[in-house]
Amino acid sequence: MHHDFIDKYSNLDSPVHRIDSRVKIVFFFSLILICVSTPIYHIRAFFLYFLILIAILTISKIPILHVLRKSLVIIPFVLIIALFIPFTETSETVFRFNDSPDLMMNRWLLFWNVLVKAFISIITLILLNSVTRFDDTLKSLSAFRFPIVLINMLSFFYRYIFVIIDEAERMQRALVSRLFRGRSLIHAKVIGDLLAILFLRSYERGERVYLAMCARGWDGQLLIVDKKPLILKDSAALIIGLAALLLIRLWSV
Amino acid sequence: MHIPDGFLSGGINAAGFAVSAGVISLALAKAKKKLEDRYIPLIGVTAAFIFAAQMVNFPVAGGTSGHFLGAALAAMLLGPLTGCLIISIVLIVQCLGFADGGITALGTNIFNMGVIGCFSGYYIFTGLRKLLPKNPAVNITAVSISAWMSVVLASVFCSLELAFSGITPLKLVLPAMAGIHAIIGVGEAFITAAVVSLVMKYRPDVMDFNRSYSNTGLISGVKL
Amino acid sequence: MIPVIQIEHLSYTYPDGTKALHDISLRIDSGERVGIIGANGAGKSTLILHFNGLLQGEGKVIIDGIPLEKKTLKTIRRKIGLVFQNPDDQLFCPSVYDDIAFAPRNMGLNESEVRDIAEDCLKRVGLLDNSKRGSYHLSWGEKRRASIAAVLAMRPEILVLDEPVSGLDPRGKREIVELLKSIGGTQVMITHDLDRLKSMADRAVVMNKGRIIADDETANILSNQTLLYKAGLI
Repeated sequence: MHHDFIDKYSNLDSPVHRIDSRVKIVFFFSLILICVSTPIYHIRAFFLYFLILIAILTISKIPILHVLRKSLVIIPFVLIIALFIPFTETSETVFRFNDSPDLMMNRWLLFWNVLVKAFISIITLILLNSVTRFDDTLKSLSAFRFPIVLINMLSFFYRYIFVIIDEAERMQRALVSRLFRGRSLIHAKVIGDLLAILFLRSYERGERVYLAMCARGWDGQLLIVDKKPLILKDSAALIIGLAALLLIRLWSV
Repeated sequence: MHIPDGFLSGGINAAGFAVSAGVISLALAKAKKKLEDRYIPLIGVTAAFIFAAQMVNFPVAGGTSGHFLGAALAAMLLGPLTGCLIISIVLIVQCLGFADGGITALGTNIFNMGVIGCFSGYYIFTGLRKLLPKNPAVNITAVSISAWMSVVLASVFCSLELAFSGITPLKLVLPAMAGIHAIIGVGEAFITAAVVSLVMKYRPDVMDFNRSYSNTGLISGVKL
Repeated sequence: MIPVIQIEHLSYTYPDGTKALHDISLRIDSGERVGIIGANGAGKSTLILHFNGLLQGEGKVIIDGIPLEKKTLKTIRRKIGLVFQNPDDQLFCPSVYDDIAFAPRNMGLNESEVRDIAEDCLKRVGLLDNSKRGSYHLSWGEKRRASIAAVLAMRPEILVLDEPVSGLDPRGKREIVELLKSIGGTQVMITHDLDRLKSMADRAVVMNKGRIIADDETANILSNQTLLYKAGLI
């Protein structure tokens, strides 16, 4: 089996891919934060955020279909929660939305507001993992005082997730080829047994990995994350990117 | 139950981050003290297992489907704090790798599914075990009830946060969320019970409540 | 000359009560290439896990004249390069390069020294172009070679391999055999592959049910059909 569904296209070569991953993380996270904090009636601002994303998408040569396909997995769930909004009387809500008082008058505006922000954020995250290798993203988190132990655990996660999914798929194929059709609750026992075996195999793999680490001289030192200073080009990209975001945000106050 | 960006108010997001960061640092500090370095690969790999297990879908009324959460399971197998770490890792990857759950709502999502899911699952289970007679059948019932409760409670907190952010009135979102998760929780209960009973049969030593952390039996139990 | 591996009266029982090793004594000299053969469950993997103290049973294990105990563990683990059977257990880092660099980093070398060693090892196993890839994306044969490179990066004095050619296609097996020949030095390997045993080892140790039942030149062992039958190898 071949999986690359976390960071597909992150191995492409483009000006965006070549930027230091720390810069990309700061920029994309800032974009989400700034977007979420933008008042909804500044429709131009949202249009500009979106334009920035399209520009990055074009420069980085990521197929737009990939981003749309990946976002389609998430958006239906967003819609389900959002659909609570327009069909609610304003007076019924417990608290006021922190945005602005007159917004409460128009539930459809709030609906639109939430959807646009969620959509831009989802596209931003998908873009981030399409232009940055996932292990680079993890390592870069250490620059933001993210605990190294947790980064190490995440690295083990990333290393073994596909191995375990493959194992699960092989087991599932073995079930299906013996005419198993797990569509009802009665079959939960079978699925549970399968997961139990999968858990034990994973657990024992965790133990063997520990042995393999010891065999190669591990003495509790965590995987090292090398911290290189940012090169001029990356710092410039970061400053220009953040300045653009701030300008859009301030302009729409 | 993964809340996206843009839904929650800034205050709730900040509170979610504060509480979750607190619990995670507590778990990591505990891990440093109590657990040994052998748990670092173990937690990573077990989190990958929970992620894979969450890909199991089961049908829920009305054509929708729910998936396994695994918070109660992780807590019962490896303890509530370790469980929190595991669920946090899963949620961080789902957010960064799949845009499932927003980055601004990450703290809140970790709070609902990790903190509430693991602690409620674990303590309802240990509480029931103390109250009820000790035999395997009762044990499994206790596992099922606490797994069901953990999912429902997590969804209750999720509704509270949405309501307090002014997205929707509580009287609408609470019954809807809790109702659908009461059904999803049945699947969760069945699967958790099946996994726990089989693990208890084959490797009782790995179950959290059968093991003290000072016990070094972990690695010596490896069979090759 | 002192032996590089000396094992005296080693016995080991798993916590669940399974007796895995009974009174094993074994002596391996520097430069020897030794094959350990035997049926599944004969105790081969359990035995080699004792070489660097990953398992500790009753009896004596002396590596290069140093008795294995808690305070010598670190020294001994540097001398023994253990290649696990399943490369997925061995390669635990997000990228191939990180895996190769793991041991040198543990030895406290600085990043440029680490890079030199890693590139040298990757070149020796022919994977230099794959260093940035994740191990998950490698083929089984590439994973096997990457595992060997990861262990070579420790500059071990003794290379111990658990079924280095299992699960590979004929070309993959040939590549591993040639690679091991080019590496040289003391090598101990577990294998089921009697066809390739002669080209990989000069001496063979036959295990059955936790005991060593024969220890001789490879050619003699391979011609003893009764012995091989008894050990469940044919």
